[in-house]
Amino acid sequence: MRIYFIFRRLLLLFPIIFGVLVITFIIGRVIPADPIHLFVGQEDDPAFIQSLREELGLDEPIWTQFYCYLKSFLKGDLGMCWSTRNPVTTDLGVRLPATFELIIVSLIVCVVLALPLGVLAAVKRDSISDHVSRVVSLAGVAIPGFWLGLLLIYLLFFKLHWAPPPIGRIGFRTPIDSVTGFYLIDTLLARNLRAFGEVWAYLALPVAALSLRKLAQLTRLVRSTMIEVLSSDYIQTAHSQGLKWRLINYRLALKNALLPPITQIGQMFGDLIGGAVIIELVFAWPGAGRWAVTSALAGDFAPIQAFAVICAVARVFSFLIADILYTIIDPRIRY
Amino acid sequence: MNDVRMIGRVNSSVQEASETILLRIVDLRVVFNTYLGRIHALSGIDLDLHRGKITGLAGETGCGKSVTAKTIIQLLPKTAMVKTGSILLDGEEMLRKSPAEMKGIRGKTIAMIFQDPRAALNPLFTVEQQLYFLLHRHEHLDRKAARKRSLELLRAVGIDAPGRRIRNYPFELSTGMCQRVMIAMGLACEPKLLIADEPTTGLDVTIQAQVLDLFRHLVYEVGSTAMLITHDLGVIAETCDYTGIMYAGRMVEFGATEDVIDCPLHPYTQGLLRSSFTGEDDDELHYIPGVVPDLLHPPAGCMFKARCGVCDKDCERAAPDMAEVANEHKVACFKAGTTQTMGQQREDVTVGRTDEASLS
Amino acid sequence: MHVDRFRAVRERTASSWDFFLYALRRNRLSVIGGICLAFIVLMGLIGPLFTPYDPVKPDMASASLPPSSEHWMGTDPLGMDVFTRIVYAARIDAFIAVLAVLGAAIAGSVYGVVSAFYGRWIDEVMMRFLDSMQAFPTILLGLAIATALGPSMRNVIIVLVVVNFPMYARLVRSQILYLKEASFVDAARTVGNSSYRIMFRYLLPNSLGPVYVQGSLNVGWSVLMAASLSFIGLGVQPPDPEWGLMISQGARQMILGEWWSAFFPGLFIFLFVLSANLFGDGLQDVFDPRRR
Repeated sequence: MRIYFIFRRLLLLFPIIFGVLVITFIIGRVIPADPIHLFVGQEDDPAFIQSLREELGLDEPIWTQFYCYLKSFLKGDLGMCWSTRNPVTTDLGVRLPATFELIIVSLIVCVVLALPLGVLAAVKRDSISDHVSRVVSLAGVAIPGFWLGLLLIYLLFFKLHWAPPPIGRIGFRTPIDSVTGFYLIDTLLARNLRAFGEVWAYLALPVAALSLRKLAQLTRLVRSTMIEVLSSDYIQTAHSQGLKWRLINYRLALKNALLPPITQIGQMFGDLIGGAVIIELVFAWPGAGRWAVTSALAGDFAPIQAFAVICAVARVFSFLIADILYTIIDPRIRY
Repeated sequence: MNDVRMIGRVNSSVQEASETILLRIVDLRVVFNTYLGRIHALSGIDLDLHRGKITGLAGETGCGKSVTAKTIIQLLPKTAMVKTGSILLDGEEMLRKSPAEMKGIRGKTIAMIFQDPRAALNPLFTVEQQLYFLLHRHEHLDRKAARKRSLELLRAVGIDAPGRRIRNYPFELSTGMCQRVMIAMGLACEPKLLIADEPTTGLDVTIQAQVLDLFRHLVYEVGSTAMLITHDLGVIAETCDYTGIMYAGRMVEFGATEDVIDCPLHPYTQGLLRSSFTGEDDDELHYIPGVVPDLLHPPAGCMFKARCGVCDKDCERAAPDMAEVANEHKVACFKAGTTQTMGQQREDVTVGRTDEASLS
Repeated sequence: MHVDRFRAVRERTASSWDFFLYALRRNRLSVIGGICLAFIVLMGLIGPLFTPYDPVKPDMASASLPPSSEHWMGTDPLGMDVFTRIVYAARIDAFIAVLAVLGAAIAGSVYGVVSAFYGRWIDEVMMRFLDSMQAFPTILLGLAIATALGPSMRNVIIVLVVVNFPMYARLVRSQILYLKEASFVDAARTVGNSSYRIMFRYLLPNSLGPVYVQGSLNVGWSVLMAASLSFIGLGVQPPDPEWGLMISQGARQMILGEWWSAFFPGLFIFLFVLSANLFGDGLQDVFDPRRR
């Protein structure tokens, strides 16, 4: 039963990726006056440009172009990144794990902190701590992520020397045997606990800068859903049965309050990708976001396109996981 | 949600555990502090619940029946405050109990079941789980023992195939079955006092009869004392041994159900009965003229005087207290006994008339 | 003997004055937000009259000076007074945000009306297109468009309009789908109104409530986006002052300890977005009766 549902959802991937390709195609080839400059980067040899023009078929009618575009995509050819002189797929393979590690850790931090904070704010409603959390939530949403990152660097690295310098994922002198690309896993696999700790130290500031905004939003949502749930009849029944506070709030009420937050968590992945792009710049994080941006600045379009497709796919999966979690939590929902 | 704040002196002078009375409420006054002002929800309630019997509390919406129940079990909202009064359960003063003590009492010594059983059960947990939480908390049963006991309970409330039902979620059960489950949860720990707040309001009439029957049966079998709150006098007549009638935060009449129904002494009770009475010879719909007094600014004197057919100057000066008229039949009316038959309705009562006295 | 059934009831309900005071007490924060917002806009408008410095002329002799009585917020690495640039940037950022939100709201409303009104497969196709657009994380979409069009202030506005309009389209569309069934549409049609007229003169004006609320919340977010794009380098270009751009120009200094040239612009972004959000929150209470 559930397998069919998952399967149907995965089928959605096709039209969405198609849509993404259409859009990047329009942006990349239809909108600009002379699209060639988006694909040559810094090259200016006219012969080379001309041969590239032919190769990409930029003189052909739009429909043919799109057809070739699709064909090469399906073959797995995502183009070349001129700044690194590598095929896009190679560059992505190296950089994507860095970005995903950052995003996944941030996601976990957000969820793990937002749930208890939101519950507490709801239970201690209208108290001082509730008002404080409200102000913090509102502020958290308004702070620009890159500014926060810089502030954190200034305070915690420059002034207090607690955090490592913003030079990337790990110090220069620590060698890492990269098996999966996820340093947290790799250091554990190599049983190198010192390096493991160091990876965390380097992760701390970027994760903090990235997750604050989403943490604020999620806490707010958990709080308001909890407040609604706490005034419901079945919670009154639980109180009348003399059940313990912890049981009522953290199990009986919270489970009912989880549905809207889960929706938001599903969306969060996509939002975090956007935030990660900027945070990677601030912290010199060698991830796909930074790569896409620097390529864009160099006039290189293929990386952005590839990154966009990856993001779209990741999004579909995160929504899917959220929906699956729904069915686990709420027995009334059946697809 | 459940801190009862006290600013008056608790009147704990009447102490010995009585043989026949389980719960004694003396002069209970409760107010709600809202942004509109102070609402006097209860203005001096006296009530005795006889052991092992079912006592009904009747009255229209807003008269304070639910507030009384919630004060006993201490589930009032934060805006509520007990000004004065005393609630004695087996001689123990309930209003002096700490929140932690009350938590131990709720569900075990005093249990409550609510209106709308579908909404009162947690939609995301099975019947078995919800019973387990309760049984584990008060009787310290583990999962297996709780399951066994739950099956017994479900059988006792008349649910067929309890083995299947126990794994169901509330949305998979009918409303009647949900209410049976609620009754099972209410009686699971064999409480001394079971309060039922409008348990049949909203149920189909046929189901109503079944549930009430079951309720009566089980309460007697377990030996609990029950308090049944309703606005339906028919339910009272069928189920309760004793009846109390409330009006605007005061108790106006109390006695054995037959006495109150057959021989109502308070004009309000008489009006209520007349309103629900399907007279064979009358085609007119009877009603009590006027509206309930504003609890933000309660009138001086008797609460009912604006709608009463037999009131006079005495009623405007002071509010009558409950006085025993016949064997255990109490009424709060200066004019009780002067109207033996179903009272007369004054022809010239003006609806909505307000006196200077009530514009306090 | 006159019968006044309702006097007793009327005497008892709270007056609207009571409710207004109550609502005002609850919304103190959004009033503060509105005032702060107005202040920043005012600063942008008349501030330039108060600062003697030139916001775009470098002065290397005064590079990277800390805050002092001469330079309230210090100078940036190119010697320009930070406070002056912030004031000038306020104009630019506010201008971008307002234009972006207006453009997105208008484009989105039209899109939503057309999609909802024609219904069926037109609606379906139009909505799927929106889905694909929203499948992009907004930064990426912004990146892509900015790359294709080239970085400039004008293009930032275009990017913001493109990124924001799906939200308005959906809002308006759901309102219209709801209103379409209302009888006044049938009445208008029977009298002979063309579809055009019905769409734009009847349906659209009635659907705008949520748009106002969304717009006010959007203004803050648009400034964040514009600042982010400029920070990356794909937005407003130097030497024009823009808060995000100023942060990127001062970023290297911040890591080295000269915090002021990156700190103050960010502070202003923060204040602007916070006040816009607070104010928009309050507007929501006004426009959406369910929140009371």
